[in-house]
Formats: sequence, C-alpha cells, structure tokens
Amino acid sequence: MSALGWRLILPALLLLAPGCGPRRTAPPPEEGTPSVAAAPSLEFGGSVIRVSDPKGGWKFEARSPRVKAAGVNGPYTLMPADATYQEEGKEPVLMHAERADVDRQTQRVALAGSVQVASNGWVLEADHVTYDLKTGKVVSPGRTKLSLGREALKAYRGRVGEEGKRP
Amino acid sequence: MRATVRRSLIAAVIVGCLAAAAGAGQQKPAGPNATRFGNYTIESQHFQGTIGGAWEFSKGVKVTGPSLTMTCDNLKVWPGKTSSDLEQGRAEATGSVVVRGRYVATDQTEWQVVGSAATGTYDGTKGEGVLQGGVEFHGTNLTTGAVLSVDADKLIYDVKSQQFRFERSNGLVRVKWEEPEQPAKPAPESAPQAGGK
Repeated sequence: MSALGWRLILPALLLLAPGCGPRRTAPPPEEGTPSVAAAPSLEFGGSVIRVSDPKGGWKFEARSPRVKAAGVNGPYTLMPADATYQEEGKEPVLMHAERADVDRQTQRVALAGSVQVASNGWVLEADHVTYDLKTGKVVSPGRTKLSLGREALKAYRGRVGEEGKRP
Repeated sequence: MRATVRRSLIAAVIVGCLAAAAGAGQQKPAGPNATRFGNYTIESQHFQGTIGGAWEFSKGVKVTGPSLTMTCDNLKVWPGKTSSDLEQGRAEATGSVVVRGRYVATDQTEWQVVGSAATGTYDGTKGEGVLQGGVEFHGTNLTTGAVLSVDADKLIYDVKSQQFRFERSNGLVRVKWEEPEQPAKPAPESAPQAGGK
C-alpha cells in the first residue's frame, strides 16, 4: 500500500474506533427526572399567579420568589407563598404558607406548612388548608387555631400595610 | 339578713358566670372594627367554613377568652355583618359543653365558676346566652370557700339587662348552698390565752 493510502486509512480507523462494539443504550433517567412524554416542568423566579372569577365576583393573586409549574397553564407550586383573595365589596383575605398549590382549572388553592389565613379581625392558623376560590370555602383537616379580637386586627392591619407597600 | 346576703351572692355569681359564658366581656372596643369580646382564640382538630358564612369547628374544640374557657365537641359560629363581628353574630356549641371562668363580685370576692350542659348557644341579635340540657352550675368563692350549685334544664342569660333565669320542665330548679366548714374551736389549753385579751 502506498504512503498516500496509509495516510487516508489510519485517520479513518481512528475515527471509527470509538464507534466499534455493541450499540450503547442511554442510561436510565434519574429518579424524579421527567421523561420526554411527561408534561414539561417550568420554574420561574419572583412570579405572580393570578386567578379571577369570569363574572368579576372575586380575584386571587399569589406571589412567590420561587414558582414551579407543570405547564404554562399550571398547576403552580409556590414556595413560600403570600396570597390575597379579594371578593367584591368585602375585606381582603390574606394568606401565607410555606407552600401553595394553585390550580386554575379547579380554582382551588392548597396551602401547607405554617399556614396563616387572615381577614379583618381574625387570623386562622393551621398545618394544611384548602381554599375553594369559587365558593370561598375553607377546610382545615387538622390542628386549627382561630384568633379573634384586637391582636388579630392589629396583625391583619400590619399585613395589609405590608401588602400595600409591595410594587 | 343571712338569706338576703346569700341571695345577692348567688345572683352575683350566676350573673358573672353567664356574662363570661355569653361573651359579654367587660372590655370596651378599641376601635370601630374591634369586637367587644376582647381577644379570643378557638382551637380544634378540624375546621371548615366560608368567608362571611358559617364556621364549623369539631373534634376537641376549646375556646379561650379573657375571662373564660369553653370546651365542647362541636362549635358552629355565624359571624355578624363582618367576619370579626361576633357581637351581632350567633354561636352554637354541642356535645359536652363546659364553661369555666373567674368572676369578681361586687363585694370584690373572686369566684371560680363552672357550668356544663349538652348545648350552649349565644344569639347576638337577641343578646341572649343559653345553656340547655342537664345544666349543672358550680360557683366557688375563692375567698370564703362557699360553694353554690344549681341543677336545671335550661339557663338563660339576657346580656342587656344582665338578668338570668334557670328553668326546669319537670320539677323545681335545685339550688344548693354550702358554707365552708367553721374552724374548730380552740383547744382548752389555748382558751385562757384567747380569753385573756
């Protein structure tokens, strides 16, 4: 074989060598990693999630420095979460929790971890709370503490002031 | 004379207890939205309710206020025009209702009072508190040790007039008054000392 022939064959062999042997399969995905078929997981920073009544009876707004979503239209997971529920003609209801799951489709909010729900003159504290935005129904299936009176009013007014200062 | 004193003490104790039980606290509101009831907390193992609607507490309900605690199995509260407005609201407690409170009577003696019944209700629009079903009431004068006990079917307290009444459908309301035991007379050897003064 001529020198020119070896010059062509050797580089070709070097290039083909890594591809020799049995076909390699892709490593299994790590636990918790979404598969290609699963809904895309989105993560946002410093987001606001808004849900409102089509008839204009109420509006809900949740804020968090960290928001995860199964898709563009949710459901959304906020950790931690501060939220406001405003029903027309009524005092706003403020919510705080370590985690909030907001589902626009069902118009429901699930709060977990050091939950506080407050309005004018009362504060509800619980481990878990579900809030139906359509009906305004609140359910706490476990330990619950409702505080009424001046202290609750003071705390509520302080928090309303904080909410009002937010951009 | 003694009967009159007893009657006034009985009235004072029961009025005090019911004032506490009905939530007619002595604290004045701090502002237009403050409740007359002072600071209250309601704790339970389950809660459900609607904003501006009825609130239902169940499983080990405990109400703590400035001058009373109440325990029961279930408590349903209908607030007044605003959520914090219990003054014009309504409340129903059911299942082993027990109200405990302290009361300072007009003669400045302090009383520990306990009332129990099957149900307890408070209606803010009527200004009326009711304990019903096997009502048992006990008041202990913490100064003298005197004990007042009342058994009845129903106890009704009018918040505005601070009038109260006990009712029993079959028979008479039973009222028992126990004076504390008198201290024993001094022993003979100490008698000369006492008599010498």
